[in-house]
Amino acid sequence: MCGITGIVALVEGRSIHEHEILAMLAPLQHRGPDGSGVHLEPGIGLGHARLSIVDLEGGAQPIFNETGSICVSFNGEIFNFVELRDQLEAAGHCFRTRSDTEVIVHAYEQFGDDFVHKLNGQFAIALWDRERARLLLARDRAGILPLFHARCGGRLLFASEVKALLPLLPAPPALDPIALDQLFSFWTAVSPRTLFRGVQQVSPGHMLIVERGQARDVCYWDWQFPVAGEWHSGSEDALANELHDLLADATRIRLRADVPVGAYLSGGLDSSALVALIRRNSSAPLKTFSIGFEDAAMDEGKHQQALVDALALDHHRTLCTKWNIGRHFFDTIRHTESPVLRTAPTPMRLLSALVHAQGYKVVLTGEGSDEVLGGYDIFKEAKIRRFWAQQPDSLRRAQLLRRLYPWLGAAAGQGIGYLRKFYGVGLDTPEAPLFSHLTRFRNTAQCKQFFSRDLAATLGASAEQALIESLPQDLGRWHPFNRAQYLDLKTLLPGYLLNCQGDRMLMANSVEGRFPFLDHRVAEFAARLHPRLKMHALNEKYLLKRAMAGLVPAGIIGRHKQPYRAPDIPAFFSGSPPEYVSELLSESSIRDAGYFDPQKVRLLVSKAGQGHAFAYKDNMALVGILSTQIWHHHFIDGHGRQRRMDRSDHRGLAPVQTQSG
Amino acid sequence: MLLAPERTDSATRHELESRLPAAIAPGEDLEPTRYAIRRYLLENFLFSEDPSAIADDDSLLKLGIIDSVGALEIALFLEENFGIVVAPVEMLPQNLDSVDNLVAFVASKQTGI
Repeated sequence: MCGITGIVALVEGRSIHEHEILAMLAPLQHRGPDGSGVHLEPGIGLGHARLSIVDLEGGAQPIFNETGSICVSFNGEIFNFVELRDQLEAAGHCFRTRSDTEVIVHAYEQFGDDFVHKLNGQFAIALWDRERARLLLARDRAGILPLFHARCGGRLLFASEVKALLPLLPAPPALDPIALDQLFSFWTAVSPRTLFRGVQQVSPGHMLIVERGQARDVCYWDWQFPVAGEWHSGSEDALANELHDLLADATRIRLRADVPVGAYLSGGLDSSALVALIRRNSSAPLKTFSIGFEDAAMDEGKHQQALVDALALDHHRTLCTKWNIGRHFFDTIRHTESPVLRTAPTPMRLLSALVHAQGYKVVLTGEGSDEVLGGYDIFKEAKIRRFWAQQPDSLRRAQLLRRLYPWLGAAAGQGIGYLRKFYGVGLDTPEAPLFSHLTRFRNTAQCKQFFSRDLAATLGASAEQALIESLPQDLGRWHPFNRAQYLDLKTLLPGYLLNCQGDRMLMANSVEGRFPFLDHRVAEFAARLHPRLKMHALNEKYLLKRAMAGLVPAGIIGRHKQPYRAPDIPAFFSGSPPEYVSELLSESSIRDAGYFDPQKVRLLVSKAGQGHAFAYKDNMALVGILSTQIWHHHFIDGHGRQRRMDRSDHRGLAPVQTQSG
Repeated sequence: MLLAPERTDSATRHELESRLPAAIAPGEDLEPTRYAIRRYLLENFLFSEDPSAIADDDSLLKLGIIDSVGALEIALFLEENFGIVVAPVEMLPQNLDSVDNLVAFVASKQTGI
């Protein structure tokens, strides 16, 4: 994978300088340590930081078509480039390299803007069409790779990460309170909004087309579900076979690389399925990687070991302690560029560090399976709540809530009265668009009680309203299960899991993740599976389990799904906490940043310090506040510092390829 | 998500009181149990020192200040501070869901009713 940057003039005659593109590339070196390239011509500047994975010799970017009129800077992988190349060569296109990037150039020549529909992969693309003086920015369907942009002085700046835009912004950036309000409800801002005021992202499945000084946003792909019962017909066996074959092929093409490919192994069904598919279809040695925790309730080591033994894997594991999390969380936020409500990204960064240390650049991961094939507990919760809503007084129906989160209910010894009250939110409006997620959203929103009065006063319409307005018109005609899927596919998955916990943690150590469950052929097939094939009664990922029977050991298929989690408050308040924690949570730091109420934060910190804060809500609030303060330290307070550093840095960065045309 | 309770230390009542601003220092008209419960809820769930932030009959669930393990936290507080044992079957809103309910519950446990 790589990092891309660039500037396009919105007003004729605005100049673009090489040192500006280099200043944008400097903060992206972790994304592309293997080389960099710049292309400048009137109206456009493109930069590229390269992590070489396919065509190690010939894949330098930006890359051009036969006449040099089309130029591409690209971050990602086009996994079907072999097939696309054959097709394009048959149509008369001449290729000069073996790289997947060159396929984009010729596919655009051949198909125009529709070329994106031909791509099977993960991508953030900047394509310049000189003859039409037109820039096209495109982002992959699911949002695996990031792409940001900002307007400034008659120009549009764009880059893989916000930190590449900051050196060229004239004033220090500011936090967007609306984005923070959304993040404290949904764990992410609603795209295209970001935490930085004035900085937007290209939404997953969207293109931004810039021509004649105007930027036009076009949605080219979205998750779509049947409106009138157009489910797949066919027996369960036939559908399980079809799913198996699709996943096998999605995995096969994701092994294409000129460097060895490894895999993450969590011990759950999804990563086990991928590893088993790789093992069956390839004899190459396979390295797998996993993370372990001190707390037995979070560690999945024995399940990982079961698969390692069954498939004779070359397995590598790293232990993530509370101390590791406390110490590394500070730098984690420099990579996420966003506050987070859990510490879970940091262990993922330690995991990619392990991959890097083993000399690997590419790993397959099972991310996306729960959203696409119906694995999450929140889908069960929604199903039970909906069933219960039909007879709200039924004690028997409410008792089903006990089957949710069994580890939690048992430990907390909760009475049914509490479950009824807690999960009964919105029970009178089961058709409301956010019904499936209301318990989670409302519980998360409790973190907002810590907002400062000034910040709260700037908030207008509610976060929930903004999310509702972003939903497609057809949503109300979809099956309720699909509505719940869509909410996760558009919020948590791209905003948090693929970004804060995914790309950013992988790229921090120059490692590329590949996601077979997010292959759009799998996604489109799964969208038309009847919900009972995803959640059979309360048995999650039902069809996937059938598809993998015989391939994945029965013990793993039969496991109750364990959510991935990491220590939160204990990482900062047990043993010797890192210094930055008390510094950034001090009353003066909280007051200076201005986002939170210093007195309330003091009471929360005191509760955490006494070891009394172990409720989920307190953990989210503390991690959310701490990470917002760290974010402020890195990007707002640190803006002047960063600019000075970047200016001195880029002098040492020698581009391997500099072209002017 | 439930985290294993890691109790590093527990401030004594004296320590807590010495840190309290006058606004929620015990009023003469407030019985000790009610005062201690109010103070605990204000500091640990409302994160406020303003006594008017909660009324004695406010439902903690309706206020949204209790999440799925909040009831357990409250039960632990009661056990540590009032020398009572809260059985799982007693983890009910009618016992734990407001200042009034909590005060009555503690009194009934202490007198063995």
